[in-house]
Amino acid sequence: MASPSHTRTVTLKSCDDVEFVLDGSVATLSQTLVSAMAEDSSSSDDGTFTWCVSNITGEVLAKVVEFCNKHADISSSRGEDLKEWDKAFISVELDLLYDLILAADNLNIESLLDLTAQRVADEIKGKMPHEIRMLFNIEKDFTDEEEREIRREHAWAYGGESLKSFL
Amino acid sequence: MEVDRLSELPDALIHQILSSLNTKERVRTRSLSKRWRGLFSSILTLDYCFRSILGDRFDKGRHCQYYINIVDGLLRLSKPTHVRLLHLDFFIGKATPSIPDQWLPFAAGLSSVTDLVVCLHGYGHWTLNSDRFRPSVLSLFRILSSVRSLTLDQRSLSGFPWPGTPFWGVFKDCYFGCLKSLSLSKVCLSEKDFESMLDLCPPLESIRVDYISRLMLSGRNAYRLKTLDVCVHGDVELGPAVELQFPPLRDDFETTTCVIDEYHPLNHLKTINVMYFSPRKAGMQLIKFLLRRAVVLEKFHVPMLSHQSLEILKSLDDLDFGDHDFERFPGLFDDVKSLNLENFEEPINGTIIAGLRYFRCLEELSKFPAKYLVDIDFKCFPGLFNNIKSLNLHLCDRLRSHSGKPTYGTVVAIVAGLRHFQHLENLSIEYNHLEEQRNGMAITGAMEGYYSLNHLKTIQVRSFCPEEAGMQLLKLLLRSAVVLERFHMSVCSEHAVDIFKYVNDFDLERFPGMFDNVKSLNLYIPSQSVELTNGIIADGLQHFRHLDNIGIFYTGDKRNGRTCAIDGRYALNHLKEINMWFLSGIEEEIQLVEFLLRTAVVLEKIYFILGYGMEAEHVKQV
Repeated sequence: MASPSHTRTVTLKSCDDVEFVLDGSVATLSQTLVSAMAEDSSSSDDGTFTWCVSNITGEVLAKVVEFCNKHADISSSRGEDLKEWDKAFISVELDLLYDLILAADNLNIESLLDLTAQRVADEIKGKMPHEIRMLFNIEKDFTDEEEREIRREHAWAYGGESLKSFL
Repeated sequence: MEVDRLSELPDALIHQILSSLNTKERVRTRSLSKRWRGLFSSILTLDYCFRSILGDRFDKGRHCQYYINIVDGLLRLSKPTHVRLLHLDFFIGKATPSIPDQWLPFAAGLSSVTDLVVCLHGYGHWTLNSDRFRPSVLSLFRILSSVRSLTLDQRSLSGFPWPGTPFWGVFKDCYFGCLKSLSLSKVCLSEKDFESMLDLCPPLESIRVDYISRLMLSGRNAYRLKTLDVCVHGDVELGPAVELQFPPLRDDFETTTCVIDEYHPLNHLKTINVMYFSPRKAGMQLIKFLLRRAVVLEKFHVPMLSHQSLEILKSLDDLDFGDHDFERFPGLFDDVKSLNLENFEEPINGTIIAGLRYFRCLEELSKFPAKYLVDIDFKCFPGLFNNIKSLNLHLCDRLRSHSGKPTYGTVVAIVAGLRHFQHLENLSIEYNHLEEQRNGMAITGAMEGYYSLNHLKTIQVRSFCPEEAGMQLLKLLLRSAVVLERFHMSVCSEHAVDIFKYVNDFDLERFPGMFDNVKSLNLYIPSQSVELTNGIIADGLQHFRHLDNIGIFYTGDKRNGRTCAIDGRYALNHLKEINMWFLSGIEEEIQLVEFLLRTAVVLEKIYFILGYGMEAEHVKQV
């Protein structure tokens, strides 16, 4: 049984057969890898470990590896600088963002999951439902009447309506 | 049309996204689509506090009904059995409604809630017991058996502070089976109630309290404690270590005591960080408690202010703080650099002096009663004062023993004691209560032992009272301080005359400017004065080169008018003003006036106040 600290490198293999070699300490950011390494008894003596992620493409995995390398590097993970880096890192197209969310969930990387979820939340913030629908291509499966009814239930959340009319 | 990949994400991921939104934005997502409407109902964290829903724009007092209506609508959407975190605000008193009846079934269904935050907003004087609110709250708290973290925040809408409320009354029927963390904010609990409350809880890992009259932690209920936050105000994040907060406490907080009973180790506590330490009895007891229990403590930090050092010293005595506690944290009081014993009324006892050794980095010791140098057993505490660079000794009437007799050998004590201040750089000696002092100091002992103070650069003597013992002390000091650079002495002007008697005892060759800071001198020359002849005055005055003004008071009416040889040949380059009182015009006076006029080369003013019988011809002579 190889504990993560004994494993010097981890090889991540994407579904389109792109391989990434991670340092053992970087791989510990992923709880999935940690538990997989802990269970794995077949790891070779030279301390390498290979893990195939069946549903993540090489392009997405490259981003994930970039994130992990940055966050595992203690010297660079200092407060404001790291926040700036995260902000630049997560400025991606929505498609890639969804892939990152799913990858973060799949590999169980908490900090990446928080970052990606926050990015989506930031897109939703301050927008009215029709704007959100337009942005995310959400199909409105209500009738206009149904939607009005839902909005009326929580009129306070939509602004516009005066306090008095609610009371 | 592009695909809606967001809605395709698994529920858990969408919940994660929703948890980053505030309540208002979260509610709006209900109208996106049927899927999103359903997702909202399965949200696990219901942070429905007033602020998260209405923000800061709304006034809690006026809009609480509005808030209740909103929360009512929101609660109806959620399945109580799913809820993990619940934060609700309640408004009590006046005409506001209590918990709406429809909330009760909801509360009853909260079977898996782990985090409960309840904030009670009250109007003026209100109690939970007498209010019809109580049954409702009770039913809400029936769910407490699943709660791990309970936060109770009790606020008054009409400002703070506010009278205590028997919050406890609500809880005594509850069972806190899974509770790990308890936070009581502005909840006034009596010590007994708090104790009973802790007894109901399993041993907690985290306690945060403020406004508790007495903190009672026993081994029975505190052995799992990881975080203890004793705090009045403040929103400091707590780490895995204990952080004690002692913010500027209200005056009525003084009665707080932390009772320490049976021994039970805190096996995991590694760091104690004390903020805003207040060295009152309670604070010291709490620290002592923690030091004794925390067997694996690695770091203990108390940033202490030097001006509190006396209080710390007193507390040490009170608490029998001993070597046992300091062995592990020898640097506990290293922050204290100066100690001022001013206003320390009680006679200093052995414990206090022994306590001094814990102040290892003390550099300055002020208002130290010289007498106590006798009491210190230097053999027991070698090197006790090695770091002291500045010492301020106080010679005052407290030096006298309780019987009222002068304490034997104050000067001997100083002389003997000072040898232990090997690194002293500044020494100041203050004389107080001169009249008594003159008697008290009269006894001198044999000044034995020669030692040198190799670092002493400055000696300052304030209100010096010249008599045998004092002079002996000064002479000895001047002899010991081999690298002395500055010697300042201020003499009480009414006693300056005595200094003339001893003036030649001073080591004036080494310190020619010894009396340079004497700017003003008053001489009282009694009748029949044999001690203070013009010769002595003239002799003495030459050492007071910086005199600005001199006052000479002739008292008594019988004078022999003797003159004597004046051989002073020096100039007082600063003397600008001479006042002579009650001149009677005899030879002796005229001689002194002539001498002064000759010596004071820059004299600007001279006043004569004539005594009766003063004759005009004498003025002419002048």
